[in-house]
Amino acid sequence: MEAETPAPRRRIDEIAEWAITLAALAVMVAAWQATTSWPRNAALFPGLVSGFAAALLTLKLVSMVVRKLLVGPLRTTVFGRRRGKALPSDAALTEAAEAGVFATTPLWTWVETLIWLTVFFALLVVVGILPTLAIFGVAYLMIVAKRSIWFALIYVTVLIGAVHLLFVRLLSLRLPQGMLGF
Amino acid sequence: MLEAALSGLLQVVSPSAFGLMLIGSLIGLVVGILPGLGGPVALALMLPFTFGMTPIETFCFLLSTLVVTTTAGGITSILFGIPGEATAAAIVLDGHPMAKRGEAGRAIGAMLMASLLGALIGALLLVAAIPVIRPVVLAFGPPEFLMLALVGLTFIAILSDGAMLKGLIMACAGIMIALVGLDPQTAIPRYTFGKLEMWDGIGIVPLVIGLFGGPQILELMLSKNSVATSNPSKKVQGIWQGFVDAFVHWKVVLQSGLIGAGVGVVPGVGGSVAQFIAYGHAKQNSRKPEEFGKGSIEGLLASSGNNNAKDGGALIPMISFGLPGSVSTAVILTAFLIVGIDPGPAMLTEHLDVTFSMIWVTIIATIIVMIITIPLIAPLSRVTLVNGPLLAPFLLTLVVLGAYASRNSLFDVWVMLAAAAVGVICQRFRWPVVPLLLGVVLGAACERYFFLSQALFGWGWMTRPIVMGFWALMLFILLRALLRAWRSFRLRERI
Amino acid sequence: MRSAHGKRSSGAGGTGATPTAIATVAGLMLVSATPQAAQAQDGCEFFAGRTVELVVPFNPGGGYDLYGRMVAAHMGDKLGAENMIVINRPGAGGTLATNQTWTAAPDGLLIQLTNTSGMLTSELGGAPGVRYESAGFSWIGRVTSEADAISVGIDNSIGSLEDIRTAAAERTLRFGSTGIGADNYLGAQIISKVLDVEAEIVVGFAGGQEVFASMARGEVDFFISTFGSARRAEDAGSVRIIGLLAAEPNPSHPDIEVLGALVEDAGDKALAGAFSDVGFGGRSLAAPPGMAEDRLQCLRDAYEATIADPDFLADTVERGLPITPVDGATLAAVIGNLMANPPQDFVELLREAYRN
Repeated sequence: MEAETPAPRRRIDEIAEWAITLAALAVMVAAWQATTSWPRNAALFPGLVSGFAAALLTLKLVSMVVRKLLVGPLRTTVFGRRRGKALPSDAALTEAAEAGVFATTPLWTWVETLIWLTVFFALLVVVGILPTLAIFGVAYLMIVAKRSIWFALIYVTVLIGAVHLLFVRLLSLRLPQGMLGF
Repeated sequence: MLEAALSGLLQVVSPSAFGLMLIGSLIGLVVGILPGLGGPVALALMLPFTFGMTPIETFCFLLSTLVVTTTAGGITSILFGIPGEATAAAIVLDGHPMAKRGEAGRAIGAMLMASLLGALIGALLLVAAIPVIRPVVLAFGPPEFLMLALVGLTFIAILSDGAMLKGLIMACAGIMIALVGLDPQTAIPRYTFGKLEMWDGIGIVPLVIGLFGGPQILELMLSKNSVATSNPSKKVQGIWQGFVDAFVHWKVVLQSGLIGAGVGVVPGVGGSVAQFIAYGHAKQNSRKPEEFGKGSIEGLLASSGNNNAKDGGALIPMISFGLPGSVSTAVILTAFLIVGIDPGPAMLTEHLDVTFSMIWVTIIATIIVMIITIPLIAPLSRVTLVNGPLLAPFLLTLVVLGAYASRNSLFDVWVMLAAAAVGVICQRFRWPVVPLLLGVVLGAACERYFFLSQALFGWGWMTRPIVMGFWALMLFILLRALLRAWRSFRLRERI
Repeated sequence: MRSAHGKRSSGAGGTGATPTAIATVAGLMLVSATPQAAQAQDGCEFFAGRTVELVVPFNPGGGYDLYGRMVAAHMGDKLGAENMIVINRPGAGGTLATNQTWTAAPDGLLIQLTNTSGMLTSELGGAPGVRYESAGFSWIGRVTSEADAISVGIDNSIGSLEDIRTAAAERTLRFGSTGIGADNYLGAQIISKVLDVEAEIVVGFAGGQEVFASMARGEVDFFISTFGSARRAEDAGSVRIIGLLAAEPNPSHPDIEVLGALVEDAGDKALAGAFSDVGFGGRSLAAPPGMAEDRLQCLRDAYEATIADPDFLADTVERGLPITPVDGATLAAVIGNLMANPPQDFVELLREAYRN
């Protein structure tokens, strides 16, 4: 009656736990290191907090190591929760649902989405927000949302119009401009 | 006092004043819904229109916008999980899961009603406090502000989703983020990596938008589903259900309103931390704490109830001392100067009717926004049924503009992006995000008030009467949280 | 017949210049004037249909923001621009915006309302992060400048500037300040030095309002601030104004004591005066360096027209934002002088403050 969650996801969770803990520890130690060159008043709080955090992270690392050695093949997730006994199966399903979209999405979808996001922000830097909206909006709506070009054009026009009306006309706020000065 | 109250009310419902309240509410609604665009920008733009208005007309116009912005911020929080304001972050925690369940209408209804009740409580507190305002505000100095921030931090214990060690670590990370910038004591840049944009610290608005909103948008883009993933056959327009909820759980709303109003009195720290204290308190006292964070109606009510209440509370030091609690209240303070009234003792004596008119405005404006929003709730809730990819360009625009507009800085957009990455990692790998936010909101204040307290009182600040009361409160909260965690740990072990 | 001084004797009866000469001269003047006018018009026509941005280095709703918006509401028209909008760009006490304006294109589409005293003191003191030269900006004109007031808590035993020395003998006096290098910090240092008293400067307050509240509670004794905010705190019942931080009495507030009156030593008097000298610039309008003469003249002319406009003046009264304008050329000259020959004591004080 083992929990029915697929093995690969559990592995990623475990690796991630180690990675995040170690990375956080490295950051806190570096932060603490930085405080040593500051005058006492400036260094007091950051030193205390980063030191405390580093201690907590070390504690966590130790407990993870201990659990790994003692409990062995049995899987653990968060601190304090041991899975020595098998979970009833609907609890496992809830667990999967709880893990959410990020856990269950296939790798290819991740890559595709991240590429789109990179395109968006790269465009933003180069041409500013309004042209980005136009280009990205039409492309994304047509390719990912699989809508017709007319739908995409109308959507984008309405969006750009609303943004322009609200920000430029009504509120007189500046919009992010790209390097090309749009 | 009664004549002043009546006089204030009559002046507020005069046609011109009422009309201005309507316009202010509409502006507040539009601006509040947009994340990042908050009170300060809208108010600063409206200020020029107030020259030539009578004092009451001015406050009707400006205060209604402020109050409505706070309420409207909850709408985007619920629908998209993107906080409309930094003070609406807690609403996301339970409001958005409800929207995902197809209960967006109910959530918005509950939020509106809780905000109204909270506004009433805040107003009542303000009235009750009038005789004792000045001595109370004078009794709170840097040591008391520090203690309030520390009390806020103890709520980490409750808000860490059971993973207290991770919660503590995240809170520390949050405090470190808050410490980025120019040190007030020695003017040394800390952790700024040579960038001048970091001297004033990491902006809270882009941080909150990214931390909470980023993962939600990414989720929509990845899943290609609508926001409401559960069976939407349950009618999306559950507004009246939401209204009823607020009355059924009146105790939660009452307590959250009192906390909001009481904590909102403290300038600066009060406004940002009130939502977490109210939320954490509700969770600690709830019979179903495990539902918090997953769409608990109690959680939503607690986070909404304190929102408008704290606006009422923040008016207290502002009226009596000219001490603004936030950037928004600072703009209202400027309005005082424009109409030629000075905040201070006069507001509680010869200008008492103006003070009362401010109280009335906070109540009436909340009612107005409720009435305006009711017909909008149905179409708004239907947005949750729209396909994710269709929403993506719109939401991306919202978050970019929201992050940019706070300081007209593209750097803030990168801050938002980084915060979004952090938010995604935390959500995926089960590290709690609320303690991080708590740390960011309270970290810098803790340091500042600590040094101020030391400079002003030496170590003696620790034994001041109100401070001692706060120590006791902290201990109480911690012990209860630890006891509960211990009990549930043992329960889990027995399975 | 030729007159010795043709131009001058034009009106004095007929003996001097002949009508022809007058006509020629007049004609020449007209002809030479027109191209200049045309040039100025070309420079100013540049603004037609464009948006000018007025950068305010602080958050919306504050004093700088209010003045900025008031000016922007009128100056855009005078320039012939489509409109003039305010862009808030807070950060590093104003240094962020100033740095960015320093490197912006000097085409006239970006101008800034400057925290001039902050600019000058940061530069003189060698503050980290300063990447501009105050004297190099294209100064358009000063909008307003306020005196700096010295206030004490409402329940404080100190009643006047004279009492400070006696009080200092009994206990350590405390100044409130928002941070090292801020005007209120420098002012506190100057007072201590000039009056020869030992005083503690408590830094870390989030803003003037917090300090005023602290003074009302009796936690700190003094605060240096703009006269306006001190007056408002006085009306709110938190503090009392006891003097001005200046060397000479201020004509706008003749009945308020000045620090300079209490000191005899010339060096000390100069120090007291240096602070208000640096404050001469107050809130001013500046544009990026290296601007073309005619473009800058356009801006300056537009500003002059704004402050002469009765609608604008009515606005200043209605909004309660008094102006004390100074033209761009004078402003540039004063700032240039100050940066070229700053009083050494003052510079030392500044360098010490920023030395970390």
